[in-house]
Amino acid sequence: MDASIPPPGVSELLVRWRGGDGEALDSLIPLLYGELRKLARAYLRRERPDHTLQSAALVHEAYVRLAGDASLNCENRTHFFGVAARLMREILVDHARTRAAAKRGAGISDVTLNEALSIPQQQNVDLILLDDALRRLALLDERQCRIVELRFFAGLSIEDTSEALGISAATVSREWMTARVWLRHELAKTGKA
Amino acid sequence: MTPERWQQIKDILHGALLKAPEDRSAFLGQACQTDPSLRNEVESLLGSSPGVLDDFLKSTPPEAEWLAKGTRLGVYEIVHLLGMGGMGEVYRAHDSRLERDVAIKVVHRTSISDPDRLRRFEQEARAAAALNHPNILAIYDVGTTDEGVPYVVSELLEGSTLRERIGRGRLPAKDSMAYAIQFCRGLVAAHEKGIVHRDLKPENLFITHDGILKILDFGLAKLIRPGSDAFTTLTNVTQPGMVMGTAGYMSPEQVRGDRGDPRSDIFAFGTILFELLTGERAFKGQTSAEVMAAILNQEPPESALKKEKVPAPLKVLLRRCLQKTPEARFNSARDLLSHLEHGSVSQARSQLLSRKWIVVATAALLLVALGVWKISAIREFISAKFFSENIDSIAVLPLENFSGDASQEYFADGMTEALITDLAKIGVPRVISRTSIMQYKGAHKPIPEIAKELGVTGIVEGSVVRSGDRVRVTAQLIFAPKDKHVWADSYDRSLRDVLSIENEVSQSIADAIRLKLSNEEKAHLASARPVVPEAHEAYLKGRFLWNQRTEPDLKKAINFFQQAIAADPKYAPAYAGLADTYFYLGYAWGRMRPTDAMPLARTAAQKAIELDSDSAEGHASLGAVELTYDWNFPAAEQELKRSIAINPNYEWSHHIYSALLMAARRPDESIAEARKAVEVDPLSVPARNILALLLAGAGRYDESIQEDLKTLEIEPNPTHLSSIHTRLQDNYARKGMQKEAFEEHVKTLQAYGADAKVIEEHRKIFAEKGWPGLTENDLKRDLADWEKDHWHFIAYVIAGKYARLGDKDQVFVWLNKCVELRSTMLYVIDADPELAPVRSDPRFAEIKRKMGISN
Repeated sequence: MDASIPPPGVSELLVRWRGGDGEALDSLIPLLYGELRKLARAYLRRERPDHTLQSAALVHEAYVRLAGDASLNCENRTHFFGVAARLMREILVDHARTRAAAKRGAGISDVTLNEALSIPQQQNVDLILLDDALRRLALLDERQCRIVELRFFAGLSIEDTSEALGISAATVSREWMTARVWLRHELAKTGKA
Repeated sequence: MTPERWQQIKDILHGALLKAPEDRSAFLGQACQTDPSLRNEVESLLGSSPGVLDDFLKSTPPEAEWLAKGTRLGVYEIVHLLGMGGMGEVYRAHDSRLERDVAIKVVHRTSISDPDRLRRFEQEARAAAALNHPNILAIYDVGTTDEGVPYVVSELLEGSTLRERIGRGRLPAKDSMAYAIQFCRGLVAAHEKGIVHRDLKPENLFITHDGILKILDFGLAKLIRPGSDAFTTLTNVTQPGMVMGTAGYMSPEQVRGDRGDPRSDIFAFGTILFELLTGERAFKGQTSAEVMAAILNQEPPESALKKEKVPAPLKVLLRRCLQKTPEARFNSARDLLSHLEHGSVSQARSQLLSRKWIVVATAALLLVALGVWKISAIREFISAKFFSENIDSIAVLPLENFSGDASQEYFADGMTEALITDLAKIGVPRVISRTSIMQYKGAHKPIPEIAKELGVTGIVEGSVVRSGDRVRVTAQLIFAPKDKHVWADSYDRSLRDVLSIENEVSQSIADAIRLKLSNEEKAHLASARPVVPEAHEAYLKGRFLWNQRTEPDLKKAINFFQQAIAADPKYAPAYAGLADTYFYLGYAWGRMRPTDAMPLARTAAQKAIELDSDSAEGHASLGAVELTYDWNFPAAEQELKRSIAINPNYEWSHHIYSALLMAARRPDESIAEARKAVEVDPLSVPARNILALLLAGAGRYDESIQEDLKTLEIEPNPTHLSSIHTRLQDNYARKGMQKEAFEEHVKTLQAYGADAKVIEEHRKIFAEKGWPGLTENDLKRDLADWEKDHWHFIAYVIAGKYARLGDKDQVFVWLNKCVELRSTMLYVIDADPELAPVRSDPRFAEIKRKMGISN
């Protein structure tokens, strides 16, 4: 991993954000996006071929790089992960689409993120189909979609997810369970689960 | 499907998921009585997900890559996996160097992948390694694997975490109190070194089989998961309704996102003690958010304290620990400890201690019953349990320079020397001097062997790494007879604090060997003033060269001591070093005129004493000048005694003092003093030389020969070799062993580098004219040398040669030259056996009169 220094301005934005400046977060998002994409690329290029890494770990790494010493409070932290989870989803799905396009060109169609990131490790999940399914889920239940993002793309626990969304852990657990059932059903329908 | 429809479906789906598969049909039948199409949709969803509670979409932790048995990490060899923690895997491993088993935590690489954090982790681990307390897990070492994965090496514990212990059932109240006191003692030790835990919880407290509580992962726990308290709470949490792990032990300020300070640890202590005493969490909730809210806004349940009949003083103590604002809590762990140890609490404690004695006594009785009836065995058993091994003497092996830079060698040597001096000054009964231990530099002999050679029971070894203005020193004390590790520490400081490291190491060693330091000794350690790094560095370079004892090195040493003084004009050791260097140059190690060198030595020695009246080196240097240059025996004796009183383990003061006693014709005292010099510095050739010299002077030729033969075993350098063989030659000659004496003469020549031709020539001279022939021959060589630069030392040697040849007139010619040159050799004239034939001559009294000394 290249030991990059956080882009200029990040620490200042974090301080402002911590101080309650909501706009600072908006400015932070492009920086965070850049950082996450850089990290993801590094892994996708298999810079560390001997070990697999999860998207959750990438998000955490981005957090550490950007905010490691900024002593964010809980609220800011969960917010940070909320944003990061969304960004991570975009990055990974984008990547999967690019790869899929390339492979279709080469006559290979089945693209799974497992090839590069092993998320999750036990099974292959077609990220593009998952992304589509999540879009549909968001239409039915926006909050469930957020829960999946946080749990799956940022690797947050039930607890963290509940904090990030300001709902009880019991609710998160319930929503997560049913969302998974729904998603699995959706993916099965398209034949790629 | 509409969102409303999905909400309906979701509720029923969730209900069905919570049922066992065989009960679902009945459940659905009831739930969808009014809307069969709802049932179809739910069943369709369930149908595609028969194993819905499997791992679909679950993020799983990175697959552990366990290290195989036999994997080597530095000197450690993995034995087997002990367990997995939030931090990483814990292995049992074997330290092949110290032949002991250790625990190694290999940190999950994904826990710390950021280089900055990795660096901080290592720093914290080193800081934690500096903690040396029975109630804190001892960290021995920190390293990184070839792949850059950090690991921490610590003592291997047997027992269970407090969490596991609580899980097996409630602890008796007095056990709880005993653990609380141990817990608090560990906190005191850490906080007083400025280290805060920040993540205390029953998972981080370990109870050994012996009932010792150890605090784990000091300073580390919080770094493992990136700064996020939220993360540390996650590990076991998958289901709602489960009370959170760490969150329950966090302080309000940490909940708010502050980093926390020692008082946060005091809060955590309160929550844990509350749980120990009542069996209930102090702050409860269904979710960590609820727990956190409770921490912020609620008081721990009074009812639980009541139910368990927790005595009032303890309730007050708990309440004070659990105050929401840090300012309202105990100020410090020390403060808390003193409260814990008082009143109703101390009773429980004394009961517990007596219980421990009973265990030991029972075990001792068992030994008897088993027929191991040996008083010594039992005493050893008990003392091993309760006292550290009996260390009455210590050798500090040269600290190894791990900087990967040979130019830092002097720095490691300087630290070694400073440590030796400190230990000696704080009253370790016997500390081996540097010249003796330097023999072991780079030699990797087994510790028990080294200890045997030096006649010590304790060995300190360690290493120094210097990088820029950071210094890391690791040190450990080993009880040599058993090769058993007693204490280990590691210090990571800025160069400016180098002195404090030396002091801390010394203090810890004193603690480890249970040395009772007097207030004065403590004051000595505490009074150390901060060192100016440039001054210390130059000083160490100077001392390194000074110890080489050759004229070119001594001249270079002067430059370094002057540099040190320039950097810190109040740095006493630099002046002492300068004094010692001028002293050598004006004595027998350099060809400076005494009239030039000695006044400079005196001024520097006086300056050292002026800056630090307790400078043992300064007093010794001044004593040496007063003895050899002023020929003022009483003044010199006073300085040397003072030096010895300050540091009884300083070879040089014993050395000079033995010379003084010899010159004053107090042979028994002088030999005893020389023996002390050898005792503190068994491998110092100069110390052994003077002992052999004094023994010969007292007519104890056999003993002198024995000492010299021993000295030859430690392979002295050519300069020393020549003086040893010369003395052996004389001793054999006096015993009438002419053949052996001549062989020693040949060896002397060889030490000087003489070729076969010269040796053959000497053989011929000896055969024809005996010893006088050889003396005449040597005299010719010395007279030629004199012509070069009129060196006072040669003048004195020539006087001795003439005395051998019986030419009294010439003896006095040359002694007079010595007086004119103020030779630093003259102080011995009353005792020098060479001069015995001329001492009754009236001209001898005249010489002494000129020198200003009487009988």
